[in-house]
Parts: sequence; C-alpha cells; structure tokens
Amino acid sequence: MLLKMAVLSMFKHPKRTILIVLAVALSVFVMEFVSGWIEGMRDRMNRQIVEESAHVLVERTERVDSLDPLETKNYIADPGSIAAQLSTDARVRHVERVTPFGALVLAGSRSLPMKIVGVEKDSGFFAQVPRGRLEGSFPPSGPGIAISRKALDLLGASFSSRLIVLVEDAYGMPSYRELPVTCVFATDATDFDTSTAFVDAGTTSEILGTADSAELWLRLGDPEDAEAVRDFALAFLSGHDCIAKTWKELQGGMLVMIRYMDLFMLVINVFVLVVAATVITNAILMNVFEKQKEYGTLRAIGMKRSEQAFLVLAEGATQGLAGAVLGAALALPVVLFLKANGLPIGEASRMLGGGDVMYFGTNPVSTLQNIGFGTLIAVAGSLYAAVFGTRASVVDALKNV
Amino acid sequence: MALIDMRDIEKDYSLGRTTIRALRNVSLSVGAGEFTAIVGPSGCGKTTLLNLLGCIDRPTSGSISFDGFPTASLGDDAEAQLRLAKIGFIFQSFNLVPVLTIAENIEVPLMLARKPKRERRVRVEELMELVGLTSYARHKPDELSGGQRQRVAIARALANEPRLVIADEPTANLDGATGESVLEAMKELNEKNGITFLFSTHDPRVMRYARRIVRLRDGEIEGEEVS
Repeated sequence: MLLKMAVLSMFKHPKRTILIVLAVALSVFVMEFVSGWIEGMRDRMNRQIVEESAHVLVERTERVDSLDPLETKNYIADPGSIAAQLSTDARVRHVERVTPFGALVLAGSRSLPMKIVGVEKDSGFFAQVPRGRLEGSFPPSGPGIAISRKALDLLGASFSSRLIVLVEDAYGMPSYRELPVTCVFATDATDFDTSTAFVDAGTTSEILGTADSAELWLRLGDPEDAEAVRDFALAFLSGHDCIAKTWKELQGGMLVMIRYMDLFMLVINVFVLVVAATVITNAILMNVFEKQKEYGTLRAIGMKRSEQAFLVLAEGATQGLAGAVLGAALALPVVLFLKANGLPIGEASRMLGGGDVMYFGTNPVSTLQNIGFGTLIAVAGSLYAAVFGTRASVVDALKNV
Repeated sequence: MALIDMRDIEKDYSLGRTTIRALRNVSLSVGAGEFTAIVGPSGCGKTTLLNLLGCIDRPTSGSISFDGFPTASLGDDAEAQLRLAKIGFIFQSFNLVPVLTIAENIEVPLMLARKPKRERRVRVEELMELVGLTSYARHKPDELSGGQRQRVAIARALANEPRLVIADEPTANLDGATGESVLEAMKELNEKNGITFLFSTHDPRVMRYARRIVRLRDGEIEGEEVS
C-alpha cells in the first residue's frame, strides 16, 4: 500500500511529476545517445582490431625501426616455412602473407601515391573492403587491382580502366605494371579509401621482383590467446630475425582510447546525474513540503521515520523509472537510425578513430544500465528530500511548518 | 491504575529569541474508559496537552506514563509503535490520505502494524459497518461530506483497537447536526467498547457529551467537572 500511495501521489501534482519524469527522461536520452555513440566507436574499434587486422603479427626485426618500413630489404626472407610452422599451433586458424608497399598509381596524366597491399586470394582480413564492395570481386585474383571509388575519381578512372602501378623493386630499380581495375569499393573512411589499394600475392611478387613477404598475419580462434601464440612464435622466430606482436601491442593506442571512452562515459553520466538530481531534488522537496501534513498524520498514527523515507524514495524511484523508460524509448529510435545511417561528423569522427561517418551502436546491457542509472538519479534526488522530510517532528509536520 | 498519567508538565516553544510557555505545571490522570473533554479558549494549550498525551510531542519538563510505563525513555521508533498499537488520533480537518480510498485509509494503521491481508480486510469491513460507511468503501475522501470523512477518521483511529483515542476539535469543521452525530458515534463506542476518548473543544454544545471536563486557561488547569 505504501508503494500504491507513492505511485498515486505522483498524479496529485501532475506538473511536478512531469518535470521530474522529463528531467530523468532527458538525462537517460543523453546517456543513451552518448553510450550509443561510444558503443558505435567501440564496435568499430573492436572490428578493426578483431576482424580487420592480425591477432598476432610477425615481421622482420629491422623493419620495426626502419625509416621506410615498406622497403623490400626489410621483408621476411622465408615466409612460407614460418607460416607452415605457425600453422601447427591449434589456436591459429589462419596465417596469411600480407605485403604492403609504396607505389605511384597513374591513370593518363593523373597520379596518386598509395599504399598497395598484396593479399592472398583467400584473405581473411580487411573485412571493410568486401563489405563496401561496389563492383568486381575482392580479393583480386590474377592481374588486377582493387581500388576505391574515391581514388578512381581522383584518378579520373573507373571499373575496368587500366592503371599503371609504379614501384621501386627489390633491386632498387623502377618497375611498373599495367593493371585493370577488377574491384571497386567504398568504405566510410576517406583517408583509407584515398590511400590504400589491393593486389594479389602473385602480382605483388611480379612487381617487386621478390617472393618474400613483408608481414605474416595470424588469425586466432580466440583473440585472447594472442599472448600465448606470440610466445610460441617467438620461441622459434629468433633464428629468423623476426619478431611477433599481439593485437594488444599493435593496437595499444586504440585500447587506451576504449578505456578513455569508458571514463568519458562515466564523466558524462556523473555530470548528467548532478544536473538532473538538482532539478529532481528541488521538485521532490516541493512535494515533501506540501505533503508534510500528510506525513505528519501518518507518523501520528504510527508510521516510522524510515517508512516515511521509504514513501518519498519510492515515489522518486517510480518517477525515475517512468522517466528512464521514456528517455530510453525516445533515444532508441534515434540511436537505431544513427546505427543504420550514421552521423556524418567528418574530421571529428576520424580523430576519434572512426570513418567519415560515425555509426552508433546498441547494447541492451548499456540500455538497461542507463535505465537503472536514470532511476538512480531520481532516487538520489529524492534522498535529500526524504531525509529532510523525516527530520521534522510529528507536531511540526502536522502544523505543516 | 490510570491509563495515562502526567505529572508537573511544562512545555515551552521557542519563537525566535522568545520562549513561549504553552503549559505550566500541569498534572492530569486519565483512567481507562473515560470520555473526557479538554476545554478552553483558543491558544490555552489544549492541542499541546493532547499532543503530549498522544505521545507525538515531548514535554520540556515533567513526566508522562502510559499504562504505567514512562514514555520519556522511549526512542523514536518505540514511540511510533506505542501510538500505532495503543493510541488513535482524530484530527480537526480529518487528515485522510487523499489518494487512497476510504477502505484503504482505514487499512493504513493495520498495514503499518503488519497485520495479514485477510485480517486487515475483515477488520476494515467491521469498521466501515461500525461507522455506517460500507457503501463508500471505494470512494475517495473528497467524494464524502465532512461528517462522513470524520467517521472515516474515527474508523481509522479505531483500526488497531487502541486503548486511547485522542480527538483534537473533532467537530470544529462540521456543522452542528453533523458534529453531534460524530460525537454520538464516539460516545457509543466509548460506552459499548470501553474505549477511552479524550477530545478538545471550545464548543459548549459538545461539552455536554463529556462525563469529565478539564478546563484549561493560559496553559494551566483551571478546574475540572465530573458529571
């Protein structure tokens, strides 16, 4: 019945109830929006870490400190035997030779300096490229180049156009190949699109004049096994003058950013908590002032101070829950829309590790947390009012002093 | 043994830097089954005296015992428990909870006493019948007349079968006939069930219902009449 009294009391002061519900709803809306944004960034970063790149990377030791890491002299001399050895570990699902090299891509009188990545025909990485494939197939098989629509526009070329790829080969001599565009893609990151193209491993060997490979990328069944697989690799790599790094070592900056995002989310939540709780405290305090006589009566007939405090807190929690559910219900369509269509914030998005468009993410756990947090805001706001209300003596409360 | 016994009670109120003495050297005993009126002009200390007798306020000095037990030693929760179990209150302006129905208002003290639901329902029905409001169970207080609301307040005061019912000016907000019917009801309960009633009034028509009248003036007991 106390709960019923708390719920029904909400309707006695509809304007104040609406104010409290809206304050909580707005807070939860902001929290849901921010957490959707951060969830989207986290999804993207996790995708980049887990789907796009290696869980363990093996490269030549010299390459790490080289002024030009794409120089062919820094390539792993016998990638095939190392790959075969690494494949013996049951935790390794896939080993791939990846060879990035610098090139000038020309079409008629136009040119574009790019990083070309030589990939195997069964490449399991760079998932964003096949996801954004517009024409042709990825990865390219045989002579052909996979290049973005944006790069093609800059070069004034199109699908099936023939592009000239000019490189410095393994002997330090200029070398070029004319390659047809066999795949056109468009990701959501302009930087990536205008700087990266793909050719197959055979074409890479032909252009560079070497069968060596720059890197070996390992995909694991469970990315959390990366440290153990790295140690397994390091045990026999010393003779090959190679080193192995885990995705946590490679993407350290990004992981720190994810941790900072959680901190950022916490700061936003605390800020929202303080602002909303202030509004709610005032509104509930007004309710408590007005109902002092009612509380005085209940105390006179035997209600304890703790039960009175429960009544105030229950009213605050009910309003908080209603506001939090409303806020989440209003925010969810917005977040879902931005999850599907993204929010074009350009440079700001790139700075935060995203593409041109920031795609939001959803997480039922974080939505439930936000609803809980919204309710908590109202309870926190009611707490002072509850303590304040119970401080009055029965006589003072009855006099409504 | 007196149901309630107060000795040498003084009660001061602070108003800024001024201290107002509301009661001076008041000693009063109320026996079980009494139907007593505290009478006197406005501001003479009637409500203060009833508040002290009802254990919702504490004296500045002096002692009060309820059923032979000194109330000064009671903590806040124990005092609330004493009021819940042994004292019923009837207020001048009814003080019903507006968002609850009549039946629920009567049920509040039973719920606070943690009585089982079935027992509560039976008791509420009994009390509604007692005050003649059975057909208004699902009505809200603002749908009832003043007299009916005061009857609900009486039923609520009787819910936990208290030893003492304190009524502060129970007829002040009622017209003459309604006020008299409320007093009739109280008197009937006193006579049939032996419940002790203590009420304050300054209305001479109401005084005639009391078997004992305690006269207060300027915070002191001026005299007593027993009929």
